[in-house]
Amino acid sequence: MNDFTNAAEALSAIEQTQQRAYADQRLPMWYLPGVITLGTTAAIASDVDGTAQVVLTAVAVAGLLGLVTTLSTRMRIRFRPGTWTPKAGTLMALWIASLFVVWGVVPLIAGAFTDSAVWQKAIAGAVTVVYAAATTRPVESLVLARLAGKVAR
Amino acid sequence: MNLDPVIHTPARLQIISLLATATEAEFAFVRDSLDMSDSVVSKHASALEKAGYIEIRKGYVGKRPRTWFKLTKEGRRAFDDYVTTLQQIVGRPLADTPHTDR
Repeated sequence: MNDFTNAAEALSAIEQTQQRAYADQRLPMWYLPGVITLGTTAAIASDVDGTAQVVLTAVAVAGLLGLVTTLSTRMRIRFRPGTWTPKAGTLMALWIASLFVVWGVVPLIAGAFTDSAVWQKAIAGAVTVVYAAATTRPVESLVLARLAGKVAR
Repeated sequence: MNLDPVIHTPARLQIISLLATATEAEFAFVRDSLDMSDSVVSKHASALEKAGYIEIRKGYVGKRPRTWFKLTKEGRRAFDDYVTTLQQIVGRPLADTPHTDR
């Protein structure tokens, strides 16, 4: 390949390359819903007794270990914390907090329809999974836009 | 103003720019993200390693061999100098204003 013909072209190439690299560092879509589902399973396990409790707890623990292992073996790039800006970090933290809010509030609403703690947690888990799946990519895009202005060096 | 001839080649600049966003990146990630062939990535990674700008680490994930690239301190400094020089030439900071000189 030939060298760049001017400085602006080289700067443009740096910007495009880094923005694409950030976009390619996104978490797989199955990861967060998987964690929430298994977290919900563990929470439900605390409300049942006997064999069901043992089985659900074992499934949750094994599943979480499996998710972490799968993600780490598929990880093709190691994140560099220095590329984050305070704005991007705040936005991500707020979104993660919103997941916990949804997970915590939905059982209260579901309590109006059922007295079963298991069902309340199951409904909360399902709603949080849908919320997480629907918001993951839009939030990532917002975060990426806040990383893009600070070109990594 | 002199631009580092090792970096001032599209493929090498793209590789270094990508590595600047990460602590370490796998060969396949670099290849796929930059839409390059294996041979092009290998060739330019070797040149960058020879210049002392990147480290190439080989390892395994399970039984599968993996090659990882990492920007060295010298490489990051060279990239920093390169970007600073470009900014001085163009007269604008990166990503803060739209291009007007193309």
